[in-house]
Amino acid sequence: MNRLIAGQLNRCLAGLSLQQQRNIHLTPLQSSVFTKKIKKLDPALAKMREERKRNKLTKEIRSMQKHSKKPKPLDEMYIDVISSRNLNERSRTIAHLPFEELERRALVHKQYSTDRTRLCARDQQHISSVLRLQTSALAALKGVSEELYQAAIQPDPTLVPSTYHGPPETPPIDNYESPDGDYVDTTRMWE
Amino acid sequence: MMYFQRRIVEMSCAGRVLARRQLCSAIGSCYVHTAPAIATSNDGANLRPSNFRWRIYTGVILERFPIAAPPLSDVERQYKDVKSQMELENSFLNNFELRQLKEKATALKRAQLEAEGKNLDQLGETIGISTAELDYNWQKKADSFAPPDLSKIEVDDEKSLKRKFDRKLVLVVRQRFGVPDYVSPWSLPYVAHRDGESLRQTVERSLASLVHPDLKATVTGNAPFVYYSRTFPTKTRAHANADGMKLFVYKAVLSPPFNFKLTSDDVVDYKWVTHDELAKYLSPRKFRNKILSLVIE
Repeated sequence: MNRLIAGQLNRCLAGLSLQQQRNIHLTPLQSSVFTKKIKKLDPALAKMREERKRNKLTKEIRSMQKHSKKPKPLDEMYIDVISSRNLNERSRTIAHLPFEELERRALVHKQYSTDRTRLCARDQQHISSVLRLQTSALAALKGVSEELYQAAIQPDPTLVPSTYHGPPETPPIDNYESPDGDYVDTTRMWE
Repeated sequence: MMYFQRRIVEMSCAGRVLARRQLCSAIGSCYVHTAPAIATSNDGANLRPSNFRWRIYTGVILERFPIAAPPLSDVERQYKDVKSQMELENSFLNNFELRQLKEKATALKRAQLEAEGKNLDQLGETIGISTAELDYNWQKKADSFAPPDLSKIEVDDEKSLKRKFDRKLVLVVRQRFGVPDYVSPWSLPYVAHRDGESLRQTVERSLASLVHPDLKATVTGNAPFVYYSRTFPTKTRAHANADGMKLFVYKAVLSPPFNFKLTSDDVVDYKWVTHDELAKYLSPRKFRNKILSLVIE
Protein backbone atom coordinates (compact mmCIF):
# COMPACT_ATOMS: atom_id res chain seq x y z
CA MET A 1 0.00 0.00 0.00
CA ASN A 2 2.73 2.40 1.03
CA ARG A 3 4.61 1.57 -2.10
CA LEU A 4 1.58 2.41 -4.22
CA ILE A 5 1.19 5.86 -2.63
CA ALA A 6 4.91 6.50 -2.95
CA GLY A 7 4.72 5.61 -6.63
CA GLN A 8 1.83 8.06 -7.25
CA LEU A 9 3.66 10.76 -5.32
CA ASN A 10 6.72 10.20 -7.41
CA ARG A 11 4.70 10.55 -10.58
CA CYS A 12 3.19 13.82 -9.35
CA LEU A 13 6.50 15.21 -8.36
CA ALA A 14 8.04 14.25 -11.69
CA GLY A 15 6.20 17.19 -13.30
CA LEU A 16 7.63 19.70 -10.86
CA SER A 17 11.00 21.23 -11.14
CA LEU A 18 12.94 21.25 -7.97
CA GLN A 19 15.44 23.67 -9.45
CA GLN A 20 15.59 27.16 -8.03
CA GLN A 21 14.23 29.87 -10.30
CA ARG A 22 16.66 32.65 -11.12
CA ASN A 23 15.15 35.60 -12.96
CA ILE A 24 18.01 37.90 -12.33
CA HIS A 25 20.37 38.39 -15.28
CA LEU A 26 23.77 39.70 -14.84
CA THR A 27 24.75 42.15 -17.52
CA PRO A 28 28.12 43.63 -18.27
CA LEU A 29 28.93 46.93 -16.78
CA GLN A 30 26.74 49.71 -18.22
CA SER A 31 28.70 52.70 -17.31
CA SER A 32 31.96 53.35 -15.83
CA VAL A 33 33.67 56.17 -14.18
CA PHE A 34 36.37 55.77 -16.77
CA THR A 35 34.51 57.39 -19.74
CA LYS A 36 36.22 57.97 -23.08
CA LYS A 37 37.87 61.31 -23.32
CA ILE A 38 36.19 63.56 -25.93
CA LYS A 39 38.75 64.73 -28.37
CA LYS A 40 38.70 68.39 -29.01
CA LEU A 41 38.25 68.82 -32.75
CA ASP A 42 39.99 71.35 -34.81
CA PRO A 43 37.23 73.89 -35.75
CA ALA A 44 38.49 74.14 -39.30
CA LEU A 45 38.29 70.39 -39.72
CA ALA A 46 34.79 70.30 -38.21
CA LYS A 47 33.67 72.97 -40.58
CA MET A 48 35.09 71.04 -43.51
CA ARG A 49 33.28 67.87 -42.45
CA GLU A 50 30.02 69.75 -42.07
CA GLU A 51 30.52 71.24 -45.52
CA ARG A 52 31.18 67.82 -47.02
CA LYS A 53 28.04 66.40 -45.45
CA ARG A 54 25.98 69.29 -46.78
CA ASN A 55 27.44 68.94 -50.25
CA LYS A 56 26.60 65.27 -50.31
CA LEU A 57 22.99 65.97 -49.34
CA THR A 58 22.52 68.71 -51.93
CA LYS A 59 23.96 66.43 -54.57
CA GLU A 60 21.49 63.73 -53.61
CA ILE A 61 18.57 66.17 -53.71
CA ARG A 62 19.71 67.38 -57.11
CA SER A 63 19.87 63.87 -58.51
CA MET A 64 16.42 63.09 -57.10
CA GLN A 65 14.99 66.20 -58.71
CA LYS A 66 16.64 65.30 -61.97
CA HIS A 67 15.04 61.88 -61.99
CA SER A 68 11.65 63.22 -60.99
CA LYS A 69 11.65 65.50 -64.02
CA LYS A 70 12.05 62.66 -66.47
CA PRO A 71 9.66 63.04 -69.39
CA LYS A 72 6.69 60.75 -69.74
CA PRO A 73 7.83 57.68 -71.65
CA LEU A 74 6.30 57.23 -75.09
CA ASP A 75 5.46 53.56 -74.92
CA GLU A 76 4.36 53.44 -78.51
CA MET A 77 7.74 54.74 -79.68
CA TYR A 78 9.81 52.09 -77.92
CA ILE A 79 10.07 48.58 -79.12
CA ASP A 80 9.30 45.83 -76.66
CA VAL A 81 12.61 44.32 -75.48
CA ILE A 82 11.45 40.71 -75.58
CA SER A 83 9.88 41.02 -79.03
CA SER A 84 12.87 42.83 -80.44
CA ARG A 85 15.23 39.92 -79.71
CA ASN A 86 14.21 37.99 -82.81
CA LEU A 87 13.38 40.86 -85.13
CA ASN A 88 14.98 39.12 -88.10
CA GLU A 89 12.52 36.23 -87.72
CA ARG A 90 9.62 38.64 -87.68
CA SER A 91 10.01 40.15 -91.11
CA ARG A 92 7.21 39.44 -93.53
CA THR A 93 8.01 38.04 -96.92
CA ILE A 94 6.32 40.56 -99.14
CA ALA A 95 5.27 39.30 -102.49
CA HIS A 96 6.24 41.64 -105.30
CA LEU A 97 3.12 43.62 -106.08
CA PRO A 98 2.02 43.61 -109.69
CA PHE A 99 1.81 46.90 -111.57
CA GLU A 100 -1.99 46.73 -111.73
CA GLU A 101 -2.25 46.52 -107.96
CA LEU A 102 0.06 49.50 -107.47
CA GLU A 103 -1.98 51.44 -110.00
CA ARG A 104 -5.21 50.50 -108.26
CA ARG A 105 -3.87 51.70 -104.93
CA ALA A 106 -2.74 55.00 -106.39
CA LEU A 107 -6.19 55.42 -107.89
CA VAL A 108 -7.90 54.71 -104.58
CA HIS A 109 -5.73 57.34 -102.90
CA LYS A 110 -6.57 59.91 -105.56
CA GLN A 111 -10.26 59.14 -105.39
CA TYR A 112 -10.23 59.51 -101.64
CA SER A 113 -8.43 62.80 -101.87
CA THR A 114 -10.97 64.11 -104.40
CA ASP A 115 -13.79 62.89 -102.21
CA ARG A 116 -12.44 64.69 -99.13
CA THR A 117 -11.86 67.88 -101.09
CA ARG A 118 -15.41 67.77 -102.34
CA LEU A 119 -16.68 67.21 -98.81
CA CYS A 120 -14.65 70.12 -97.51
CA ALA A 121 -15.89 72.37 -100.31
CA ARG A 122 -19.45 71.34 -99.52
CA ASP A 123 -18.96 72.25 -95.85
CA GLN A 124 -17.51 75.63 -96.78
CA GLN A 125 -20.38 76.28 -99.12
CA HIS A 126 -22.87 75.30 -96.44
CA ILE A 127 -21.29 77.64 -93.90
CA SER A 128 -21.23 80.58 -96.27
CA SER A 129 -24.82 80.00 -97.37
CA VAL A 130 -25.98 79.80 -93.75
CA LEU A 131 -24.14 83.02 -92.94
CA ARG A 132 -25.67 84.74 -95.95
CA LEU A 133 -29.17 83.60 -94.96
CA GLN A 134 -28.66 84.64 -91.36
CA THR A 135 -27.35 88.08 -92.31
CA SER A 136 -30.37 88.74 -94.50
CA ALA A 137 -32.70 87.40 -91.78
CA LEU A 138 -31.16 89.78 -89.25
CA ALA A 139 -31.44 92.67 -91.67
CA ALA A 140 -35.13 91.88 -92.14
CA LEU A 141 -35.59 91.65 -88.38
CA LYS A 142 -34.01 95.06 -87.93
CA GLY A 143 -36.60 96.44 -90.32
CA VAL A 144 -39.39 94.86 -88.26
CA SER A 145 -38.33 95.82 -84.77
CA GLU A 146 -35.13 97.29 -83.35
CA GLU A 147 -35.87 95.75 -79.95
CA LEU A 148 -36.15 92.21 -81.32
CA TYR A 149 -33.04 92.77 -83.41
CA GLN A 150 -31.01 93.83 -80.37
CA ALA A 151 -32.19 90.71 -78.52
CA ALA A 152 -31.25 88.54 -81.49
CA ILE A 153 -27.70 89.78 -81.89
CA GLN A 154 -26.76 89.07 -78.28
CA PRO A 155 -24.11 86.36 -78.05
CA ASP A 156 -25.30 83.05 -76.64
CA PRO A 157 -22.83 81.98 -73.93
CA THR A 158 -24.25 78.45 -73.82
CA LEU A 159 -22.87 77.77 -77.31
CA VAL A 160 -19.25 78.09 -76.21
CA PRO A 161 -17.78 75.61 -75.64
CA SER A 162 -19.88 73.17 -77.62
CA THR A 163 -19.22 69.47 -77.37
CA TYR A 164 -20.60 66.94 -79.79
CA HIS A 165 -20.30 63.23 -79.28
CA GLY A 166 -20.10 61.66 -82.69
CA PRO A 167 -22.50 58.86 -83.45
CA PRO A 168 -21.15 55.44 -82.40
CA GLU A 169 -21.09 52.52 -84.80
CA THR A 170 -24.10 50.90 -83.18
CA PRO A 171 -27.21 52.48 -81.65
CA PRO A 172 -27.65 52.20 -77.87
CA ILE A 173 -29.47 49.14 -76.56
CA ASP A 174 -32.84 49.94 -74.97
CA ASN A 175 -33.13 49.33 -71.22
CA TYR A 176 -29.56 48.12 -71.04
CA GLU A 177 -28.45 47.38 -67.49
CA SER A 178 -24.74 47.82 -67.13
CA PRO A 179 -23.00 45.08 -65.10
CA ASP A 180 -22.23 45.66 -61.43
CA GLY A 181 -18.75 46.50 -60.30
CA ASP A 182 -16.37 49.27 -59.54
CA TYR A 183 -14.63 51.24 -62.17
CA VAL A 184 -10.93 51.22 -61.47
CA ASP A 185 -8.82 53.44 -63.65
CA THR A 186 -5.49 51.71 -64.10
CA THR A 187 -3.97 54.36 -66.31
CA ARG A 188 -0.48 55.24 -65.12
CA MET A 189 -0.24 58.84 -64.11
CA TRP A 190 2.87 60.91 -64.83
CA GLU A 191 3.33 64.07 -62.87
CA MET B 1 -5.88 58.13 -115.01
CA MET B 2 -8.30 57.79 -117.88
CA TYR B 3 -10.40 55.53 -115.74
CA PHE B 4 -10.33 58.06 -112.95
CA GLN B 5 -11.54 60.88 -115.17
CA ARG B 6 -14.25 58.71 -116.60
CA ARG B 7 -15.35 57.87 -113.07
CA ILE B 8 -15.74 61.51 -112.19
CA VAL B 9 -17.74 62.19 -115.31
CA GLU B 10 -19.98 59.22 -114.58
CA MET B 11 -20.46 60.33 -111.01
CA SER B 12 -21.36 63.88 -111.90
CA CYS B 13 -23.77 62.66 -114.56
CA ALA B 14 -25.45 60.41 -112.05
CA GLY B 15 -25.64 63.31 -109.59
CA ARG B 16 -27.24 65.59 -112.17
CA VAL B 17 -29.85 63.01 -113.10
CA LEU B 18 -30.63 62.43 -109.45
CA ALA B 19 -30.91 66.15 -108.77
CA ARG B 20 -33.24 66.61 -111.73
CA ARG B 21 -35.41 63.76 -110.52
CA GLN B 22 -35.61 65.21 -107.03
CA LEU B 23 -36.47 68.60 -108.40
CA CYS B 24 -39.27 67.14 -110.52
CA SER B 25 -40.78 65.30 -107.60
CA ALA B 26 -40.40 68.37 -105.42
CA ILE B 27 -42.14 70.61 -107.93
CA GLY B 28 -44.88 68.04 -108.31
CA SER B 29 -45.58 67.99 -104.61
CA CYS B 30 -45.21 71.73 -104.43
CA TYR B 31 -48.20 72.19 -106.70
CA VAL B 32 -50.27 69.87 -104.56
CA HIS B 33 -49.65 71.86 -101.40
CA THR B 34 -49.38 75.42 -102.54
CA ALA B 35 -51.86 75.87 -105.27
CA PRO B 36 -55.07 76.06 -103.25
CA ALA B 37 -53.90 77.77 -100.09
CA ILE B 38 -51.08 80.17 -100.43
CA ALA B 39 -50.45 83.24 -102.49
CA THR B 40 -46.77 83.95 -102.18
CA SER B 41 -45.06 87.25 -101.86
CA ASN B 42 -41.39 87.83 -101.42
CA ASP B 43 -40.46 91.03 -99.71
CA GLY B 44 -42.95 93.09 -101.57
CA ALA B 45 -43.64 95.04 -98.39
CA ASN B 46 -43.18 98.37 -100.15
CA LEU B 47 -46.04 97.62 -102.50
CA ARG B 48 -48.47 96.85 -99.68
CA PRO B 49 -51.06 99.40 -98.55
CA SER B 50 -50.18 101.26 -95.39
CA ASN B 51 -52.82 99.48 -93.32
CA PHE B 52 -51.41 96.07 -94.21
CA ARG B 53 -51.13 94.06 -90.98
CA TRP B 54 -48.01 91.96 -90.63
CA ARG B 55 -47.72 89.38 -87.93
CA ILE B 56 -44.43 87.93 -86.69
CA TYR B 57 -44.11 84.16 -86.46
CA THR B 58 -41.22 81.97 -85.43
CA GLY B 59 -40.56 78.56 -86.90
CA VAL B 60 -38.16 75.94 -85.66
CA ILE B 61 -36.11 73.28 -87.38
CA LEU B 62 -36.04 70.66 -84.64
CA GLU B 63 -33.32 68.15 -85.46
CA ARG B 64 -32.47 64.75 -84.15
CA PHE B 65 -28.83 64.03 -84.92
CA PRO B 66 -27.79 60.55 -86.16
CA ILE B 67 -27.73 57.91 -83.43
CA ALA B 68 -25.47 55.51 -85.33
CA ALA B 69 -22.70 56.23 -87.80
CA PRO B 70 -23.72 55.83 -91.43
CA PRO B 71 -22.01 53.04 -93.38
CA LEU B 72 -18.83 53.98 -95.23
CA SER B 73 -19.18 55.16 -98.78
CA ASP B 74 -17.52 53.12 -101.55
CA VAL B 75 -14.56 55.49 -101.75
CA GLU B 76 -14.07 55.47 -97.99
CA ARG B 77 -14.30 51.70 -97.74
CA GLN B 78 -11.80 51.14 -100.56
CA TYR B 79 -9.40 53.61 -98.98
CA LYS B 80 -9.73 51.94 -95.60
CA ASP B 81 -9.09 48.49 -97.12
CA VAL B 82 -6.02 49.64 -99.02
CA LYS B 83 -4.61 51.42 -95.98
CA SER B 84 -5.04 48.44 -93.67
CA GLN B 85 -3.55 46.14 -96.31
CA MET B 86 -0.50 48.40 -96.59
CA GLU B 87 -0.15 48.56 -92.85
CA LEU B 88 -0.26 44.80 -92.61
CA GLU B 89 2.39 44.43 -95.31
CA ASN B 90 4.75 46.81 -93.51
CA SER B 91 4.29 45.27 -90.08
CA PHE B 92 6.38 42.69 -88.19
CA LEU B 93 5.08 39.23 -87.45
CA ASN B 94 3.59 38.94 -83.99
CA ASN B 95 4.10 36.09 -81.51
CA PHE B 96 0.99 34.28 -82.60
CA GLU B 97 2.01 34.38 -86.26
CA LEU B 98 5.46 33.07 -85.32
CA ARG B 99 3.76 30.21 -83.52
CA GLN B 100 1.62 29.53 -86.57
CA LEU B 101 4.70 29.40 -88.78
CA LYS B 102 6.44 27.06 -86.34
CA GLU B 103 3.43 24.76 -86.27
CA LYS B 104 3.31 24.69 -90.04
CA ALA B 105 6.99 23.77 -90.22
CA THR B 106 6.50 21.01 -87.64
CA ALA B 107 3.58 19.58 -89.57
CA LEU B 108 5.67 19.47 -92.75
CA LYS B 109 8.50 17.75 -90.96
CA ARG B 110 6.13 15.28 -89.39
CA ALA B 111 4.71 14.34 -92.78
CA GLN B 112 8.21 13.91 -94.11
CA LEU B 113 9.29 11.68 -91.21
CA GLU B 114 6.14 9.58 -91.46
CA ALA B 115 6.73 9.10 -95.18
CA GLU B 116 10.23 7.91 -94.45
CA GLY B 117 8.97 5.69 -91.62
CA LYS B 118 11.26 7.25 -89.03
CA ASN B 119 10.75 7.85 -85.33
CA LEU B 120 8.64 10.92 -84.55
CA ASP B 121 10.37 11.62 -81.21
CA GLN B 122 12.84 14.06 -82.70
CA LEU B 123 10.04 16.45 -83.70
CA GLY B 124 9.83 17.92 -80.20
CA GLU B 125 6.13 18.74 -80.48
CA THR B 126 4.57 20.56 -77.55
CA ILE B 127 1.16 19.70 -76.23
CA GLY B 128 -1.38 22.53 -76.15
CA ILE B 129 -4.23 24.17 -78.01
CA SER B 130 -3.34 24.52 -81.67
CA THR B 131 -3.20 27.94 -83.26
CA ALA B 132 -5.90 26.96 -85.72
CA GLU B 133 -8.28 26.16 -82.87
CA LEU B 134 -7.42 29.40 -81.05
CA ASP B 135 -7.93 31.35 -84.23
CA TYR B 136 -11.31 29.72 -84.79
CA ASN B 137 -12.46 30.47 -81.23
CA TRP B 138 -11.34 34.07 -81.42
CA GLN B 139 -13.04 34.56 -84.75
CA LYS B 140 -16.25 33.15 -83.30
CA LYS B 141 -16.06 35.54 -80.38
CA ALA B 142 -15.30 38.47 -82.69
CA ASP B 143 -18.32 37.60 -84.83
CA SER B 144 -20.57 37.84 -81.79
CA PHE B 145 -19.59 41.53 -81.53
CA ALA B 146 -20.38 42.28 -85.15
CA PRO B 147 -22.44 45.45 -85.58
CA PRO B 148 -26.13 44.66 -85.99
CA ASP B 149 -28.04 45.21 -89.19
CA LEU B 150 -29.56 48.65 -88.61
CA SER B 151 -32.54 48.02 -90.85
CA LYS B 152 -33.66 45.23 -88.48
CA ILE B 153 -33.65 47.39 -85.34
CA GLU B 154 -35.09 50.51 -86.89
CA VAL B 155 -38.77 51.25 -86.50
CA ASP B 156 -40.37 51.78 -89.89
CA ASP B 157 -42.69 54.52 -88.70
CA GLU B 158 -42.46 58.17 -89.65
CA LYS B 159 -43.69 59.16 -86.19
CA SER B 160 -40.91 57.30 -84.41
CA LEU B 161 -37.55 58.77 -83.53
CA LYS B 162 -36.15 55.28 -83.82
CA ARG B 163 -36.23 55.35 -87.60
CA LYS B 164 -33.20 55.97 -89.85
CA PHE B 165 -30.56 55.73 -87.12
CA ASP B 166 -27.82 56.97 -89.42
CA ARG B 167 -29.65 60.02 -90.75
CA LYS B 168 -30.57 63.41 -89.46
CA LEU B 169 -34.31 63.77 -88.79
CA VAL B 170 -36.36 66.95 -88.83
CA LEU B 171 -39.83 67.48 -87.32
CA VAL B 172 -42.66 68.50 -89.64
CA VAL B 173 -46.20 69.12 -88.41
CA ARG B 174 -49.74 70.01 -89.40
CA GLN B 175 -51.21 72.68 -87.14
CA ARG B 176 -54.61 74.18 -86.33
CA PHE B 177 -53.34 77.67 -85.41
CA GLY B 178 -56.19 77.96 -82.90
CA VAL B 179 -58.93 77.42 -85.48
CA PRO B 180 -60.97 74.31 -84.59
CA ASP B 181 -61.80 72.98 -88.06
CA TYR B 182 -58.65 74.08 -89.86
CA VAL B 183 -55.63 71.89 -90.59
CA SER B 184 -52.58 73.49 -92.18
CA PRO B 185 -50.49 71.78 -94.83
CA TRP B 186 -47.29 70.05 -93.70
CA SER B 187 -44.55 72.43 -92.63
CA LEU B 188 -42.20 73.30 -89.79
CA PRO B 189 -43.85 74.09 -86.45
CA TYR B 190 -44.80 77.81 -86.30
CA VAL B 191 -45.86 79.95 -83.38
CA ALA B 192 -47.04 83.58 -83.38
CA HIS B 193 -44.84 86.03 -81.53
CA ARG B 194 -46.30 87.69 -78.43
CA ASP B 195 -45.52 91.20 -77.28
CA GLY B 196 -42.76 91.51 -74.71
CA GLU B 197 -40.82 88.38 -75.55
CA SER B 198 -37.75 87.98 -77.71
CA LEU B 199 -37.91 85.73 -80.76
CA ARG B 200 -35.83 83.12 -79.01
CA GLN B 201 -38.26 83.07 -76.10
CA THR B 202 -41.07 82.50 -78.59
CA VAL B 203 -39.19 79.54 -80.03
CA GLU B 204 -38.55 78.15 -76.57
CA ARG B 205 -42.24 78.53 -75.73
CA SER B 206 -43.21 76.67 -78.88
CA LEU B 207 -40.70 73.89 -78.09
CA ALA B 208 -42.02 73.63 -74.54
CA SER B 209 -45.52 73.09 -75.90
CA LEU B 210 -44.32 70.64 -78.57
CA VAL B 211 -41.82 68.47 -76.77
CA HIS B 212 -42.50 66.41 -73.68
CA PRO B 213 -40.78 67.90 -70.60
CA ASP B 214 -38.58 64.78 -70.27
CA LEU B 215 -36.96 65.63 -73.56
CA LYS B 216 -34.51 68.45 -73.91
CA ALA B 217 -34.44 70.59 -77.02
CA THR B 218 -31.72 73.23 -77.20
CA VAL B 219 -32.13 76.28 -79.38
CA THR B 220 -28.92 77.21 -81.19
CA GLY B 221 -28.19 80.89 -80.83
CA ASN B 222 -30.28 84.00 -80.38
CA ALA B 223 -30.33 84.97 -84.04
CA PRO B 224 -32.79 83.58 -86.58
CA PHE B 225 -31.35 81.66 -89.52
CA VAL B 226 -34.00 82.23 -92.16
CA TYR B 227 -36.46 85.01 -92.88
CA TYR B 228 -39.48 84.49 -95.06
CA SER B 229 -42.59 86.56 -95.54
CA ARG B 230 -45.87 85.84 -97.22
CA THR B 231 -49.39 87.20 -97.43
CA PHE B 232 -52.30 85.20 -96.12
CA PRO B 233 -55.13 84.15 -98.40
CA THR B 234 -58.31 86.13 -97.72
CA LYS B 235 -59.93 83.21 -95.88
CA THR B 236 -57.10 83.05 -93.36
CA ARG B 237 -56.89 86.81 -92.79
CA ALA B 238 -59.95 86.96 -90.57
CA HIS B 239 -58.98 84.37 -87.98
CA ALA B 240 -55.25 85.11 -88.12
CA ASN B 241 -56.12 88.76 -87.45
CA ALA B 242 -53.40 89.74 -89.92
CA ASP B 243 -52.85 90.08 -93.65
CA GLY B 244 -49.43 88.46 -93.83
CA MET B 245 -46.74 86.75 -91.86
CA LYS B 246 -43.08 87.45 -91.34
CA LEU B 247 -41.47 84.19 -90.41
CA PHE B 248 -38.16 83.85 -88.61
CA VAL B 249 -36.79 80.33 -88.44
CA TYR B 250 -34.51 79.06 -85.68
CA LYS B 251 -32.72 75.78 -85.25
CA ALA B 252 -32.94 73.44 -82.27
CA VAL B 253 -31.34 70.14 -81.40
CA LEU B 254 -33.07 67.32 -79.56
CA SER B 255 -31.05 65.50 -76.90
CA PRO B 256 -31.48 61.80 -76.06
CA PRO B 257 -33.27 59.74 -74.80
CA PHE B 258 -35.61 59.84 -77.76
CA ASN B 259 -39.10 59.00 -76.51
CA PHE B 260 -41.01 61.67 -78.35
CA LYS B 261 -44.60 62.19 -77.37
CA LEU B 262 -46.79 64.90 -78.78
CA THR B 263 -47.94 67.28 -76.07
CA SER B 264 -49.38 70.21 -78.01
CA ASP B 265 -53.12 70.32 -78.72
CA ASP B 266 -52.51 72.67 -81.60
CA VAL B 267 -50.53 70.12 -83.58
CA VAL B 268 -52.76 67.67 -85.41
CA ASP B 269 -50.14 65.44 -86.95
CA TYR B 270 -46.38 65.15 -87.00
CA LYS B 271 -43.60 63.30 -88.77
CA TRP B 272 -39.86 62.89 -88.42
CA VAL B 273 -38.39 63.14 -91.89
CA THR B 274 -34.93 62.94 -93.41
CA HIS B 275 -33.28 65.63 -95.46
CA ASP B 276 -34.44 64.16 -98.81
CA GLU B 277 -37.99 63.66 -97.56
CA LEU B 278 -38.16 67.16 -96.11
CA ALA B 279 -38.32 68.69 -99.60
CA LYS B 280 -41.82 67.41 -100.28
CA TYR B 281 -43.22 68.75 -96.99
CA LEU B 282 -42.12 72.33 -97.52
CA SER B 283 -43.57 74.88 -99.86
CA PRO B 284 -43.31 77.22 -101.64
CA ARG B 285 -40.07 76.61 -103.49
CA LYS B 286 -38.14 79.62 -102.30
CA PHE B 287 -38.86 78.84 -98.66
CA ARG B 288 -38.02 75.17 -99.22
CA ASN B 289 -34.68 76.00 -100.79
CA LYS B 290 -33.76 78.26 -97.89
CA ILE B 291 -34.60 75.60 -95.32
CA LEU B 292 -32.89 72.82 -97.25
CA SER B 293 -29.66 74.78 -97.53
CA LEU B 294 -29.74 75.11 -93.75
CA VAL B 295 -30.15 71.42 -93.01
CA ILE B 296 -27.00 69.59 -94.01
CA GLU B 297 -26.11 65.97 -93.52
